[in-house]
Formats: sequence, structure tokens, C-alpha cells
Amino acid sequence: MSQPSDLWSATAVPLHEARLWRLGPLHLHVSRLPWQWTFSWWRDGQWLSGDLHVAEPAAPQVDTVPGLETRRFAFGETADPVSLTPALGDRDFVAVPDQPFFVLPAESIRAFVSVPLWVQVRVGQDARLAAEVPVIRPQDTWFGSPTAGTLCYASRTAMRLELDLFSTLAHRALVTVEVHNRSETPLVIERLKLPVPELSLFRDASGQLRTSVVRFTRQRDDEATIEHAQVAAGWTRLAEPRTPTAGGRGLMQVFNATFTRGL
Amino acid sequence: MSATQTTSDWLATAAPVAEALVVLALSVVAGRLLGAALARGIRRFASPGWEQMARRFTSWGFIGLGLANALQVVGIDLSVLLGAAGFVTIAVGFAAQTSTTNFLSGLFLMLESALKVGDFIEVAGLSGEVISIDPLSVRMRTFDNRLVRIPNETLVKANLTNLSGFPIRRIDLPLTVPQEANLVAARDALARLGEAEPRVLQHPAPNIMVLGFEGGHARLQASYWAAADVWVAVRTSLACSIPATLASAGAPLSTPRLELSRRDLTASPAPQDA
Repeated sequence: MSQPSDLWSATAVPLHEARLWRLGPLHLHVSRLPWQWTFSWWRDGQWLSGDLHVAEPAAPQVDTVPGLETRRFAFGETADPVSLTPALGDRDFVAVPDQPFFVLPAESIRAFVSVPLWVQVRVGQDARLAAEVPVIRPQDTWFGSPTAGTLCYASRTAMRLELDLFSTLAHRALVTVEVHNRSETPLVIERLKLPVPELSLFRDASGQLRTSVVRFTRQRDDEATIEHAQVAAGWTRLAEPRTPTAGGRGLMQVFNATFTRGL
Repeated sequence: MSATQTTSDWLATAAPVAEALVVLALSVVAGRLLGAALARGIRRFASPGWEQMARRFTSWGFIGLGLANALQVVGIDLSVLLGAAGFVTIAVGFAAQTSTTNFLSGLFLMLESALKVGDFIEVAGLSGEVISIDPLSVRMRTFDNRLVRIPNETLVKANLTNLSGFPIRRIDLPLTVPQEANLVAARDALARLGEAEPRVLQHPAPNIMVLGFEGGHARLQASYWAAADVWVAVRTSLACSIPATLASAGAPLSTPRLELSRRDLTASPAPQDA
């Protein structure tokens, strides 16, 4: 078993050889020829598996396994190294608590959601992005009305108020959510849309991967302003946001998108 | 006749002509510029056909106005021409009745935003992808790659279904299982099938219904939601998995059932009603 710190580093792959990474349920096989890189991946096992193997020597050819996907990249001449970099998801995530809970007026809470990472495979000295693979493929979900809304990923883990309930995994990141209820009525949180592509990825002092803190300030009904709060000192930045953040945006629907009857 | 007088006569004749040419040139330039600007303006919400039409109408409209102005400048009476144009307009109007109807229908379609290029539609028994919306017709590519031209009037009159009008769609799969099967196990297995396919939306949640019983079978409907652009692929994926899923849940899909009962013809006949 490798150490998480070894994972996001560059590795040399000699010509006509292959290396295998295993990150939780994801197997990533990289083979090199003088003119071609081949990346293959498949998933098995538990999605919360803590398995971690970094660049282990492997057979150049991958046996056919269920769910195998392969990408070939042709080059004039392949060059080392291969490096893996972490990234957050490419769509918003919808988080759901085990049981809906209320936030009373003038109350502020802090909750946590665990989201899977995407692995970016880069090649060459200039670290060109060749492939991007989610460690697990999250389930799709919809946030909004059936006629207008957002296609999101559903978070597999529940939104929780206790940080201690989450185990440290190299292939998942924790999103810290602050909710401030500034309206005059209680806020019931059944579903919450997290702008994951707008978040940065960090490693905290304990080695846990964290995202920038998301702060929702509810003004009225189900709409809120979203801000990205400052992260704690000592966090190391691992990845920039995928999409630029608007910061202090206008009112947006982020809570409890409900559907009309008949669905 | 002095040279000065000849020159002034020539100028008196040439000046209006020059003025008329300048008016005509200005109208051509103004028509083209305005037509291009208008086409750019409608490019965001209209197809290239409408864009081209806007450019042409503006351009030719300005040229027509410029020409009329130029003729007046050189002293040609337009009233005779306009009288003749009236008759021509009536004749053309009768001849172009269908085209006019289609054109106006196209305007309504554009205002309603009922469809756009790239949408998948069903109309008048045909379905396919909209590849252009033109002033008189909509061109559609059917799924077997035929080009169908649908007059705009037909689209306005007929029931038009836009399959990609909304971003998500429901997949309804009607199923029949033997009525003795464990329907609860079948329902749970179909719900788990939705969770196993990542493109099935978690919300709105899958819905498994027992619609009724008929001919020894239970009629079920499994409904799942998916994004409109992957609807066909997800439906196919689910449909391929359903037979094995139901079989493993102890509720295999029904096969046609014909019940026969044997009657002993040698036995005494049944008593008849008095």
C-alpha cells in the first residue's frame, strides 16, 4: 500500500512498459510505446475502499474486464513523465442529509459533504492533460423544475453536521458548507446544491483533502447568496477551480428544489 | 448659342441625373449596412434562412425607395408606374397565397419559439431532427436520414411535439409479469436497476407502478428520468437489463399465456335450462 503523498507526483514509464495505479475502486493502467501512450481504466470493489497503489509495474496489455475503457494517444515521440493531478467534479453536486433538518432564523450552521475526485492524467515535461477519469461515476440528478434546472451529480454520502464521521480517503474531498439563515422563517434543508466546479482543492494539515468553504446566506425563500470563505491557514492548494467563481453572486436557488406533482 | 448657355443647359440636365445616381448609391449602401446589422441582430434566435431574408428585404426595400426617389429627381412621374404596380401586386398576391400563409406561419413559429435548429420533433406522423427553419418551411432529418420539408403552415396547424423542448425526459417501460410473481421483489429490483445506471436521475426518483391485472399477468410500469440528450441510450440500457433483473428477482417477464380446460365429451350432458 502506497502513501497518499506519493499519488500526485510524476512517474517515469520506460518504453514498452506499463504502470498500474489503484485509487479506491479505480484502476488506472498506463502503457508506453515509442509513439503512443495508452490509458485504460476500470472500477471494481467498494466505492469507499481505501486501496492505494501508485505506479506499480504491470503487464503491457490489460485483460478484458467489465467496464474497461481505453484511450490511445499518438505522439511523434513519447516523453516521460506521467503525472496524476487531482481535480474536483465538472458539475454541481446535490447533497442530501440523512434526515431533513431545520435552521432557525438568525442561526448559522456548518455541515460537511464528501465528494469524489477526478484524476487527471498528464504526460510530458509540459504536463499536457491527456485524460480525466472520475474515481467513481456519480449518479446524475436534477435540481430545479422539470422545465428549467441544472443537471448535477448526486452526492453518495449524506450531508453531516459532524466532521468526525468522515474517514480520510485519498480519492475524496470534504466540502465545508456554512449556512446562515437571515430570513424570518425557519429554513428546512432537504437538498443543497454545491457549486463544486467553482471550488479550489486543498490538503489540510492532517492530509485530508478539502475544498474551499462554501457559505450560503439565505435572504428569502429558497434563494441565497453564495460566497467562498477564506480557508484555514496551513492548507496547501492542490487544484484551482474548473470554472471562475463569480464571488458574492446574486440570489440563486440552492435549497430544496422541489418538483410539482405528477412526476 | 453661346458656349456659356450650352454649358448651363448641359449642367441643368446632368445635375438631376447626378443627384439621382447619388441618391441611388446612398440607398444601396444604407440598405446593405442596415440589412447586415439586422441580420446580426436576429442571428442569436433565428436560423440562417431568416437572417438571409432579413438582409435581402432590408437591402431591396432601401433600393426600391432610392429608385423611386431617384426617378422623381429626374422628373419621371411615378403615379403611372404605381397604378400598374397595383395590378401587379394583386396578381402576385393571388399567386403567392400559399407562400404568404407559410411565411406568416413561419413568423408565428419564430415568435412562439416552439422549436429551434437541433431539436428533435414529432409532427404529422414523422419524427426527426430540425436542421433548418426557413421562411416558408422547416427542414427535418428523419432518424433514417431522409430529408423532409414541412411547410410552416403545417407546423402551425398540426400537433407539434418537441422531444427536446425540456432538458429532462421520463422513460416509461411497460412490463408484464405473471400475477403469481413476487411483485414487491420485482419493484425493488427495478428500483435498484435505476440506481445502478448512473445516467438515471436520482431525482426525480424512479417510480415503479402496478397498473393492474389482466389475463393472468400483472401489468407494471417502470418510469425513470434521464437527461434528454441521453434518453435513448439510457432507455436501451435499462431495457437490456430488465429481463435478467426481473428473472433474478423471481418475477420473470411474462410469456403469452393461453389457458385450456378439458371437458369430457363422453360424460352425460350438462342439464339444460327449462
